[in-house]
Order: sequence, then C-alpha cells, then structure tokens
Amino acid sequence: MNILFGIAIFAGLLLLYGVIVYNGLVAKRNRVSNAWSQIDVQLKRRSDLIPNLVASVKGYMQHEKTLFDDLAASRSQVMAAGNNVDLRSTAENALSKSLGALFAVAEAYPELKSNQNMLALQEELASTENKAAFARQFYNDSVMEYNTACQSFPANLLAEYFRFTTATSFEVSEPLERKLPTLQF
Amino acid sequence: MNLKSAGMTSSGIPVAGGMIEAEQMGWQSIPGPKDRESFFTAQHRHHLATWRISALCLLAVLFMGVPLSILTAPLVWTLIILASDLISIVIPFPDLFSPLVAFLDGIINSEESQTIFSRQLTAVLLLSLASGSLTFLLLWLNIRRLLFRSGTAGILAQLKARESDKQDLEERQLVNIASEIAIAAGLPAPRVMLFDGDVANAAILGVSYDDATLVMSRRLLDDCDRDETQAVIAHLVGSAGNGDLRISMAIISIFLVLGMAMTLLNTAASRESRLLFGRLLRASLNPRGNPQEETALISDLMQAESAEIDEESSEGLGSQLRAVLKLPFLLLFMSFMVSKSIFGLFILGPALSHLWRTRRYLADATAVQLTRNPAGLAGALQLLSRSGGLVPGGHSLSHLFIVGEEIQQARAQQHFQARMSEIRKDSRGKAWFERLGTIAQACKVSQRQDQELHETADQSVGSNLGIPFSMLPPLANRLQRLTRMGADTTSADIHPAKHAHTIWTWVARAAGVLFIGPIAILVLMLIYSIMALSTVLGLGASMAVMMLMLSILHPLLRLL
Repeated sequence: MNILFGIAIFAGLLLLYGVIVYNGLVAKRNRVSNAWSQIDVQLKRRSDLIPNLVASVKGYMQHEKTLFDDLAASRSQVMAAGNNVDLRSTAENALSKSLGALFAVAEAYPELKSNQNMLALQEELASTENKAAFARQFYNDSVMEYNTACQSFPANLLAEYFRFTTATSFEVSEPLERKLPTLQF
Repeated sequence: MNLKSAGMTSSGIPVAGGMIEAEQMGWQSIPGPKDRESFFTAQHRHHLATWRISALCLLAVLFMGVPLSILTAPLVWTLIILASDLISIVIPFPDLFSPLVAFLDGIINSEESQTIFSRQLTAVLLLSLASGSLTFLLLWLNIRRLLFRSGTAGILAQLKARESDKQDLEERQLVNIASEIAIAAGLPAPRVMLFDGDVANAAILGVSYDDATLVMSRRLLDDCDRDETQAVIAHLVGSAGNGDLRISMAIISIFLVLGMAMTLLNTAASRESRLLFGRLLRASLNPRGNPQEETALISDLMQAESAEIDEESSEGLGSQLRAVLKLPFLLLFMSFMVSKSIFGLFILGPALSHLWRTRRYLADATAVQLTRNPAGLAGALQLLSRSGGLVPGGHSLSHLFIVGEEIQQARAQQHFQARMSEIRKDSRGKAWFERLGTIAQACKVSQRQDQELHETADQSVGSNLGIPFSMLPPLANRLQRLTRMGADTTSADIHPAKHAHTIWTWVARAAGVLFIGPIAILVLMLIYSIMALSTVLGLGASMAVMMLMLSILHPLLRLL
C-alpha cells in the first residue's frame, strides 16, 4: 500500500514536471514566432521609408542614377522574397548595403548634409535600421534559448515526442561578409 | 578564404586558434583582462545570486517580524477592544472580549506568571505573535495598495519631468532609442520624459514595467553620444524588464510597514505622528486616492522615525499625569526602535542593499546583452562619474536611478586625494609645522565637503531605510565587471577595481570564513539576545498599557 502510494506520488511529480517543461517549450516557441514578426514589422517600415528618402534626395543627387536603381532593385527583391527566412535575409542584407552606399555618397553633398528634413529622415532610417538589427538580435536570442531548451536532456525527450523542431536563426548569409576584412597599407 | 583559417568554426564562433593566426598576420590582440566573462554567464551568475540573497532577506524579515509583532500585538488588541466598546455604545452588542480580559487579568495576578517559562506566558506570546503578524500583514496589504495606486505621477511632478520635444532632434533620437532598446528586449516601448537641471542622471520609475516611465536629464542626453545614450537606456529598460521594479516595491514596502507601525506606536507621544497617522487613515479609506498626496505621505512615512516627541512643561497635575500615562507608550516605542534599528543596521539593511546591488550588476550585464556594446555603458558611467549625482526631487526613489550619491562620494574622495598629493608636493622641503598647518587646512576643506555631501545623501532611499551606505554599487566595481565583459577602460579617470584571483585570495577567504564566521555568529547571538531582552521589556510595558486601559476603560464603557 505504501509502495503504491509512493509510486503514485512519484508519477504525479513526473507529470507535473512534464507539464511545466511542455508549457515552457510552448512559451519559448511562441516567443520565437513573435520575434520573427517583429523583424518583419521593422523591415516593412524600412521599405516604406525608402520612397520618402529617394524623393527628398533625388533633387540633389542627379548624377547617382545607379545608386537609385540599386536601391529600387533590392527593395523589389525584398518584396519578392516573402516569408522565406534564407531568401529574405539575403535580400534585406543587399538592401542595407545599398542604403549604406547612398548615405556614404550623400556625405559628399554639403547642402544635403545640412538639410533639416534630410537629417530627420536620416535619423528615422538609422533608427529603423537599428530596430531591425535589434529585432534580429532578439529573434536570434529567442531562437538560441528555444533551441537550448529543446535539445537539453531530459526536455529533449518531450520535445521530440511533441515534435518541437528547432528554429533557424537569422544569419548573415553572404559568404563575403563572413570573411575577415583585409587591410591594405 | 577558408573559414577554419579565419578563426571561425562553421557556426561562426571565433576560436582561440584564430587569434594566434591573426597575431601572426600582424594583428594585435585587444588588451583586456584574462578572466573574460560573457554577458550570458554574468547574467546567470547574478540570477543565482538574486535567489540566494532573496532567501536570506526573507529569512531576515521573518526573524525581525517575530519580536516586532509580539511588541505590537497588545496595543492592537487594546485598540480593537476599545473601538468595539465605543461602537457598542451606539449599536449595542454583547461583550465579546470579556473572557480575554479575564484571562489576561488572571495571568497578571497569578503566582505562576512570575516564572519566565510558564504555560500562560507561552500562550500570551503565541497569541501576540499570531495577532501581531496578522496586523503587519494587513498593514503591508494596505501599503501595497497605496503604492500601486499612487503610481509615478507624484514623483514625476517632483522631478518636474516634461514630455519630449518632437521638434528637437536629440529628444526625438532619445524616443527612437528607447523604442529600439525595447525591441531588443522584446518589450513594449516605455514612456519617455525628460527633466532639466545641472545633475546628469536617468531612471526608470514605476511599480511594474507596464506603467513605467523612463526619465532622463537633458544634461546627460547632451553629454552622451548615441551609443552611450543607448547603453543608459538599455540598463534601465533591462532592469525593469528583469523585474527590478517589483523588487524595489517589495523593499520599499517592508520599510513602509515599519514606518507605519512606528507611527502607530508613537501616536501617544508625538503630535507629528498623530497627524501622519490621520493622513494615513484618510488616504487608506479614500476609495479613489490622490496621487500627489499619497506620494508625499509615502515619503513622510519613510522618515517616520525622525518624528519629534512633544515637549511639554512638567508643571501642573494634568501634564504630570499625562507624562505618566505616556511612559509605557514611550517604552514600547523605544524597544520597537531598538529591535528595528539593530535589525535594519546589521542584518536586513545590508542584505537588502546587497540584493539591490546584485540587481544593478545584472542590469549592467543585461544592458550589454541588449546593445552588445560594453564600451557604451562604460563610457556613459565615466561621463556620469563627472556630472552625475542625486537629483533634487528624486530622493524618495533614488535607488531607481542609474547612479546615486555614491558618485558624489567617490568624487569627493578623489578631490581630497588630489588635494593631499598637491600639498605633499608643495610642502616638500618646508618645516614640519608648516606642513602640518596646510594638511590641517586641507582636512578642514574636505570636512566641509563631507558635511554638504551628507546633507544630500541623508535624503536618499538608503539612508531613509536605515542603511548607512549607498544602495548602488561603487562605480569602480561596475566598471571592473564591464571590463571583464570586454569594455576598454584603459583611458578611464575612475579606474576599475582590481580583480585578481591568486592562491592568496583563496587563502585569505578561507581564513576569513574560519575567523570571521564564528565571530559573526557570536555577534548575531548577542544582537538577538539584546533584542529578546528589549522585546520582553517592551512587552511588559505594552501589557501594562493594555491592562491599565482595559481594566479602567473596558468596564466603564460597558457600563454606559
């Protein structure tokens, strides 16, 4: 009788532990998907700001047509990529690069640098860029936490049974960006 | 280039082999401490420490609660019985408390109660303990309600905080940065306000993250670049996101409960306390509440022990009788004060401030996690070491700011040291008495500075809670931890604390445990026996009050 009672208590505790672990996994998975949608929001905001930027800059920078073409091309690539993590991160990185090039060239136009409107827009874009980066960072941190929870023992048994698959983190997918920079003297 | 030769594993993590190859290629390794620590490790360590210290604090609160509830209980019973008597004059109902009064009468008059460990005394102690702790629980619930209801409107008004100016680029940037960091932390963006003045500081004020307001001085915003502002905000948002606001509420409410109990006990002897108690009663009974009034009340309750005792002329029979009647109350109040101050000073105060300091280090590590830039926070702290300090109007929540009076103390100390070395240089070759004169002069200057400093520091939360040192960790220790996480502080003017683990550190620690441990236990036992003595004395006084009032007033009121 006592043994049965002991077994019942043990089973109950085990079940409780299982429930807690399961709920933790669900919460972490949901955080990952929420973090992904946050990136989406910020990236969309960036795409929306680009026409504004082009409109206020174009007057000053008549001769930089290739830059604008690049920007437009990478923006449409982003639109086409949809929700595919790999494609999307490549396209977003390309967009970041063309934006960076635009701002670098804009430094050469003094009247553009002191334009209040341009300054405000630049701050907005820099902030949005940061927000996208931070959203990505939060996504990656959540993915790491979720994956660690999924893969560590004994939660992995439960995760496998209930089909919690590990998530992919948002990475810099271009091989060029992974190289160490080489300096020329 | 091959990934392996670039010091990267396929998952993109730099490995040690890569550093060596990088040095061969003519790259210098970044200077820094050998015992590097990642911010995740640091956070984990501080989380564990939080649990440990919280358990210690809870134990300390429980230990302190025992003598204090025993002391308060008789008075509370007296008040309840007399109140019920007064009510029964208006709406008659049977005397519920007469068995209790008879029981207590019996104890006082019986022979057995003269020995200490009699059964009746135990019963009285247990009854007092139960009813006293119930009283404290009710007081605590009440103060929590007041705290949550009053929110931040009062303190924001005291700080003269204003909304950010949308036209101003810097302030717009501040709002942007706050929402960026909130995204990094996966939280909704906090409300951002600014305040003007010469002191640089920033805080997140509130009772929980949802109603929190981030306030930053315009001075700090002007001094910091974007990275540093980001780091300051990351520290604050990270702190609130970690749940520090709730911990802060718990710490404050513990001390407010003590303040309330002391006000209650002191009502007989001090007019100030009577007024405060009246305000407290009105605020508690008011169903809607007035945030301004409640904030003022809360900051007054924190300073409850400084309430002045009435001065009366001892002439005339009436005032002499009053003095005699007051004596037991005063005795009760004194023994409560003794227990509270001893515990606050030696056990609860250090434990709570240690808890809060650990949370500060945790918030620093979280800031590094959010910004991935330890140099930003290190730079901001360096800036704050020059222009930071207690903000006028923010005293009642000074621990929620990123830096506090410890910055001013460090600055004063640095100033004094600089002055001393100057004097040493000047007086080289002079006669000894001339030297002594200049040194004395320097000491006088530093004494004056110290006094000014104490006047400001006296109003900070730490000193109100009876903690003789700052609630926030010294800047040097924070910089040391940031250096370990990778910040470069070689050009700093406040040098991070040295941190070197040699075999001797461990020997010193072991010796410390072996020698200080037993001494600490002895001191604790001494403290507890003093407290037990003062509790017994206080309880005697308290019982005397109760019996005096009950044996005269209870039958009298019942007769009416």
